Amino acid sequence: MTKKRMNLKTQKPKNLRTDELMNKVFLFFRSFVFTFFGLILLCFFCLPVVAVESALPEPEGMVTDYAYLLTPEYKDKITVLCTTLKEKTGAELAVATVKMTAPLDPKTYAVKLFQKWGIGQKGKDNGVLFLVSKEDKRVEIEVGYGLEGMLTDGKVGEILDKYVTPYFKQENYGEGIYQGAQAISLVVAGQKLKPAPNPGFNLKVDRVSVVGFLEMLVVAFSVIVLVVIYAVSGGAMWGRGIAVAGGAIIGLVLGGIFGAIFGIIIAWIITNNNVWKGGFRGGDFRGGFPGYGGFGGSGGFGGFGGGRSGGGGAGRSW
Amino acid sequence: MKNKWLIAIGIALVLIVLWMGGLYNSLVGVDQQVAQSWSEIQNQLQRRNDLIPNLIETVKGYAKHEKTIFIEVAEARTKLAGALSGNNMDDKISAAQGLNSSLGRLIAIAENYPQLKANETFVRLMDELSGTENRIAVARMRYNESVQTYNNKVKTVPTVFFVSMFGFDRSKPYFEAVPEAKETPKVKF
Repeated sequence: MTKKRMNLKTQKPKNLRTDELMNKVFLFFRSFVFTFFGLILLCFFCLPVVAVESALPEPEGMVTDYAYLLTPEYKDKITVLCTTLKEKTGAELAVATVKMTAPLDPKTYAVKLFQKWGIGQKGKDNGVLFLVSKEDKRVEIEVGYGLEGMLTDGKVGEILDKYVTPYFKQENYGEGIYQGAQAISLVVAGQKLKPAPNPGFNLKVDRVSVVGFLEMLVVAFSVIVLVVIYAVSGGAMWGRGIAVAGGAIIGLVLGGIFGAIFGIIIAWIITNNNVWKGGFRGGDFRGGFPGYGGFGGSGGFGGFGGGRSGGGGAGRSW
Repeated sequence: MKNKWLIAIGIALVLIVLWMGGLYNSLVGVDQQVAQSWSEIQNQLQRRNDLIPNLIETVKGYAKHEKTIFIEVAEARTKLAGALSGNNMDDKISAAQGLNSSLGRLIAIAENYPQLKANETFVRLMDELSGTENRIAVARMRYNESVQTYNNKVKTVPTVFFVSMFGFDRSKPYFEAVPEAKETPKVKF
């Protein structure tokens, strides 16, 4: 009798514990499934936004390098140049590189991007957009209304011929953009152009950077692994709330990834465009991982001033 | 009792008048937008017309014997200049398109002269010209956008009931690029 009772006493809590664990596992999966599919659904609703947003990216600073043509050194150099120009003359020079501009042609893309970003001060319209489209092999310089007098179309064409395309032909995009930005700055500041540089012996220094997407996947998976390890080792200590939260976090991460991937695939089909970054942006990954520094260099950038342009400037293929 | 009704009707009338005033003002706004974007097109057409004599001079230096095209471009230019000073929008549009196609042919001819293509003056002129073309394209895009806004407004309730009463156009013409103009060789380097 006593033995049996002892047995019962020791067994009963054990059963309870497994019940409780099953309950937690159930809660975990339920919240996982809800958030996972919820987020995928949300991403689908965001699709039109994703598609449009990806066609026209947001500025990340004076230099926005979506095509990964610039080394950090060149990015810094050009950013300093643009910032100095803004401090000295008030004019805003924005540099943007994109993979391609389809479905728009490069010039129309430049006009729309200028309009969206509003480069230059409001009323003065003293902005310049330096757009490089990698796959189109096309560079467009769009000049705001206020600078059309200084940076005439012919002048812009001359800058492109002498300072930019010689480097681009050697795939030295950093130097080409830097030299071009410098020439534009000099003209805007009312100074004489320096003699055309000789690009003859420059080595290829631009790195082909791995897409930030991979970095993001690594971060996402480390979060998942951490949560799983925590769940396995933590065992019985965990309350139901933590089980729900764990499921939600994993659901959120996975749902976000899948949603963004579906979003990208569908946006790709819709716009026939390369939209890696835009797609993720629509899924709002950026806010999710504060540690992710791939977008660096934009500290303190508060947007452009609201200037306008009307198609002035020039373009070149290389 | 009677007074109360009169006051109510009076208030209603004042509200209606205010509302119609707002409607009228918003129509003036979109109408002005169309007019302004049209004048931008006209400015750019004018600018292109002013560039053409220089272009002809430069090309002539290298391709003296291509006389017919020079005459053709000059004629188209004069025609556009005449249309621009007039008031008929359709004339302006068709004259601009006529100039487009002959200019395109002139540029196509210039492409055949490597020395001409290497001439710095010619390259700058072509930059100015293609810049003007781009500005015309942008101005045309913005004009069409403003026409769309205008047409949407005048053709929807409640504005549609008051358009002729206020004396506004029932619709504005779009500035479409004719297929022929799209085929003309684009000024590109």
